[in-house]
Amino acid sequence: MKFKYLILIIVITGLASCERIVDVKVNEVDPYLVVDAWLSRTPEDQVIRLTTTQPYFDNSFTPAVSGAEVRLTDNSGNEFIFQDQGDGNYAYASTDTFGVVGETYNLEILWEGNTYSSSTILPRKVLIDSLVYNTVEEDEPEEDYYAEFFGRDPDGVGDAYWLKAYKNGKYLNKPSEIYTFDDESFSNDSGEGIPFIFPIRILPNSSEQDINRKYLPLYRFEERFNLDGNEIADFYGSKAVIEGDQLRIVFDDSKGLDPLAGGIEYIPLDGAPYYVRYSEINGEAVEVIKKPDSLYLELHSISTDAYFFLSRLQQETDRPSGFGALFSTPPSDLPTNIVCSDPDVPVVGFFNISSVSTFGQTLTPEVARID
Amino acid sequence: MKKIHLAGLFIGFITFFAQAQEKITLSGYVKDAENGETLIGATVLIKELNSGNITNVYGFYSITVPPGQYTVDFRYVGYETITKSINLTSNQRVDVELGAGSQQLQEVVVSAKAEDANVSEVAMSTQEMDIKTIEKIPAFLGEVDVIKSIQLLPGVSSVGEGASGFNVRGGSVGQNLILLDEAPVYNSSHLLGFFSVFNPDAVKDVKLYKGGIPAQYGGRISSVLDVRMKEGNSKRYAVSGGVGTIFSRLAVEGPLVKDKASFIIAGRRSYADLLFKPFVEELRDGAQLYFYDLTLKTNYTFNEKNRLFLSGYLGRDVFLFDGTQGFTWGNKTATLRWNHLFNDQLFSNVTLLVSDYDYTLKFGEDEEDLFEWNSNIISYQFKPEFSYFLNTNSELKFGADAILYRFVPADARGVSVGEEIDISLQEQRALEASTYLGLEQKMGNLTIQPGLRLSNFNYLGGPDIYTYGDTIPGRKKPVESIESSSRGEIIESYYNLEPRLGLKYQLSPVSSVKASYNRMSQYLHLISNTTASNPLDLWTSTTNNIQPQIGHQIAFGYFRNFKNNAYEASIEVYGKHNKNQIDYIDGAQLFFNPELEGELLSGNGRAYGLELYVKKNKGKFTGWVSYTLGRSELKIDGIGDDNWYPTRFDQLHNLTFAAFYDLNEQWTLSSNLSAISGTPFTSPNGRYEIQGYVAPTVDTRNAGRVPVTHRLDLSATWTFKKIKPNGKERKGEPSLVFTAYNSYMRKNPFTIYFRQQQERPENDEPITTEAVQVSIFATLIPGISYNFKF
Repeated sequence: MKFKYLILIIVITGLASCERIVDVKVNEVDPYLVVDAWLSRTPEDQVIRLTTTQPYFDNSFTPAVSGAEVRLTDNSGNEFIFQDQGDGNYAYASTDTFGVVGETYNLEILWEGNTYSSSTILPRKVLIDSLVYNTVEEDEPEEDYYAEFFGRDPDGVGDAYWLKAYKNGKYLNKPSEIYTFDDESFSNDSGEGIPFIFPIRILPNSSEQDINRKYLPLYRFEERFNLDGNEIADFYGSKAVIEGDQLRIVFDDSKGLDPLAGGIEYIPLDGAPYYVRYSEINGEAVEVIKKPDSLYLELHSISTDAYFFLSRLQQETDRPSGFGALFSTPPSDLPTNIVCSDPDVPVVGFFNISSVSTFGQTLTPEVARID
Repeated sequence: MKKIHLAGLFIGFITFFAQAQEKITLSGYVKDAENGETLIGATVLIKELNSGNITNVYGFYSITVPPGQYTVDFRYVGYETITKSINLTSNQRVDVELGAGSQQLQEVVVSAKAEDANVSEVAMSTQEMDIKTIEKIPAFLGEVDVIKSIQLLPGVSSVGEGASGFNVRGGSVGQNLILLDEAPVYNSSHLLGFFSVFNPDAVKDVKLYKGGIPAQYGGRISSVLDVRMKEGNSKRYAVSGGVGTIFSRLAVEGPLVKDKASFIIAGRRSYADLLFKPFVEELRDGAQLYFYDLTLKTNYTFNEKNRLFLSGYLGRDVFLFDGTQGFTWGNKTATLRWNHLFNDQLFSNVTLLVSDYDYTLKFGEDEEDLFEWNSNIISYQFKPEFSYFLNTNSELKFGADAILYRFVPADARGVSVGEEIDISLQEQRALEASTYLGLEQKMGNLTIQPGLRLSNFNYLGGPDIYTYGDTIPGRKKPVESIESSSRGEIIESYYNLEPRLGLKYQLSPVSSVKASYNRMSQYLHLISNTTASNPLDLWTSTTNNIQPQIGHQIAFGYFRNFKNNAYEASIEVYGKHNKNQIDYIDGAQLFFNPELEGELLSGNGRAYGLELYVKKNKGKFTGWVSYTLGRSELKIDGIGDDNWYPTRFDQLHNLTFAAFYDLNEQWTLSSNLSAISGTPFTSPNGRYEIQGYVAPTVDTRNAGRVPVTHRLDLSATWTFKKIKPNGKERKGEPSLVFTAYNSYMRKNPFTIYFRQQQERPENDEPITTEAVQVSIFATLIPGISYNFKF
């Protein structure tokens, strides 16, 4: 039941308003450096990406910057040189877990005669204790579940988090899926450490709509869909057809499809989580099986400035639509913690090093709760 | 204490003045013969002297003249004029009840109280609308709405369709003082702005001051919307109501003690939730979405000199996701007023009121896991006011006002797995006190209305006192120190002198020129950085860091009536300059932020414009044309390289036609057509990728413009025949109102915004960015309502 409200808000905001994509002339400015430097305290290779800005409606890959010198130092005298990979990526191959908690790191980039610098402190790691699934409908334990994770914000002010979620192995990377929070709740922290509060615990439940604005299930147990030829008669209320390695959902055109609804029409049948079971006798497709859904969480401890940057990033990329436009704030530049030696040269981007804890869980009866 | 002495001095002065007079006073109340409601702004004219007065908001008039035999006219548009021959040898009390004129005449009332009021009164930049006019305007979903109606008048606009509140002469929503029977209403909207909180069944009169604001009003720099409630029928019981698309309404009024006491109680409730319950699953699961309001007023006349009024309002919007979780908000006001006549020339009203606006957000199903947030603003006000009618040429008004505010930005707690944290913010308290003196003096063709208001605001101790460093563009101001304070201590005190001046020169019986100046100060600030105001917007106090807003306005106008007042026309120009206007740093965090003041920027505002207004008052065909040419700009340190930039509600042109036609006894047709310049939006000038998202780099604030908006609304009212087909008289005066909002289905742009693609980004494909134009009402919205009156 807790989950219902999200859906109701969408029902109400979708009433009579209308949106269409329009051509607007906007000004263009000369490109300048973008620093995308989000490192983590993991044994993996550390990558900093350098690109430049581009015109707003230039819908191509952002231009990569090569030939820069990228160097990281800490206050203990260590130096990490990031190697130019030629594609805008600058990498440091870490042999061990990278970074020390509490250490200050200084980033220095030399490019086109200017020095760009920044610094950050590596924050402490905070653990996710558990991850459970609760029924959306009390009386329908076979239906949808929503995920809820538990953890405890440690004592003291200033812990900030970026929760990255992977559903069935796929990174949830829409602007609406930037999950950030500050201490255990909101930014006015009392300094006392308590468990993360309720609305935060259910953040990683992205409800995806199909193009009829119908909601696809959140998390479910294994499900089997009988095939009639290569068709499923009832795939969450719609008809679906196997086309190659994809499942195409067939919608009723009479409903007047809204191309802006942002729904999904094709579902890949590559085994994560949908796959086709073939008959052992004649090799024909027999049924489509959806494996039980899983969720994998990475809890990144980030700096308070990085938290503010990500909240602003979400504000600028996930704009309120429809009636929501009534309550939008004016767009404005994101903050940056990168400074150029020449104050007249603009630069954007952000530098942060995070501590990471992870937790993964597949929806099994053991972790499913009737809520 | 200084002010109290000052007020005492005024009273002494007046008493002395009164004794020095050797004249006779004619005074009394003017009422509606039908229901006993007092008439506001009725004209009392002494023909021999060709001079007179108009009734005040309580229906009282007083005229002091030399002794003699006089012919006195009592007039009110839409009512039969009563002429009395009065031999004045001693002070006389004459209460008059005016009967409604012919049906035809009553139907054509548009707004003016005295037929030539717009020319003959010194007031300029004011708009009055009586409820009969408001009821005729084609309304959204057929629901009669006070605030949407005044948006059809010159100088009044909104940021777009569906937006809450209104903007007056380039001022923001939070700069309007909205009074309901003297009580300030802090949020005037239901359902996030689609409807206003005033129940038309209980509203008697609406007056908007856009400029030339008299000295008795203060506290907001842009405008005053003075809404007066009905007193209730003192002659007989009456029931009226209606069934509409959104609301059902019912009002009951009647005498409690004949001619001494009456009451009105009026309520509305929306019932979309009940209607849609069978179709919307969430509503069956316990979700609730409705709003209601209840208006109550009663009065008691003790004797000729004393009358008491008690009025109250309770409104609430409820938006619950299930039984307990969700969002509710609403206003509560209670006003107690005592009208007292010291003598025939000195009228007084003492008001005691409380007004409270609050909202509550709650998530979590049980006490173990919840998040709860309450916020409110409460004000207690004491306001004695006096009118002294010196003679037919002069009237003196003076009074005082004391308001105690309590601001609760966040009374909030979070409970997680049984462990609780308090994330409340500290309360603030403040005391606003003011005193004023205003005079209206006629001198032949010239009338002057000078006034002076002295206001004082004290930010009271209790919360921690923050001091901040200087503004660094784009960053929040750094906290330099935090000190505690104690209750009772005054942290910061401000004094402002607010001179007001109105001038009228009568060029001829049908034309006049007018000029006005006012300086206003505002100590409360509506903190909102969203396009349209919303229920979560916080009212915050002037503090040691937030300075009071100061507004200056100067206006000139020419007023001319034609064809025996059948047409009235006016042209006005205005210029405004405002200080200490608030804007916000980029990405300001307005909630749960103890350092909110560090995220606010301050600067200047200016607005200027021209308003044209032509109105036809008489005949079967009535209506008006209104045109506004205006600019509204801000210059804030730290925004847009410190240059002037347009406000979000800046509109260069705003043209409105409102037309009403009485076809026959059964049908009345109404329409309004508006064409308004596009409002600004902010564009990006580039994009970049970070962490797999595409962020914009942003151009100058509000440099883009959406296309022109235009819209035609239609409505038709069908009144059932008075005699039924079977020959019997029909009871209840039933009527049906059909409306078509946005009748030619124009997709009016509200704004254009920029976003990254809606689809999930894939690794091997670049992310696209796009511009999206939003229309709030993209289609014709029909409405139907059934109204009755017994």
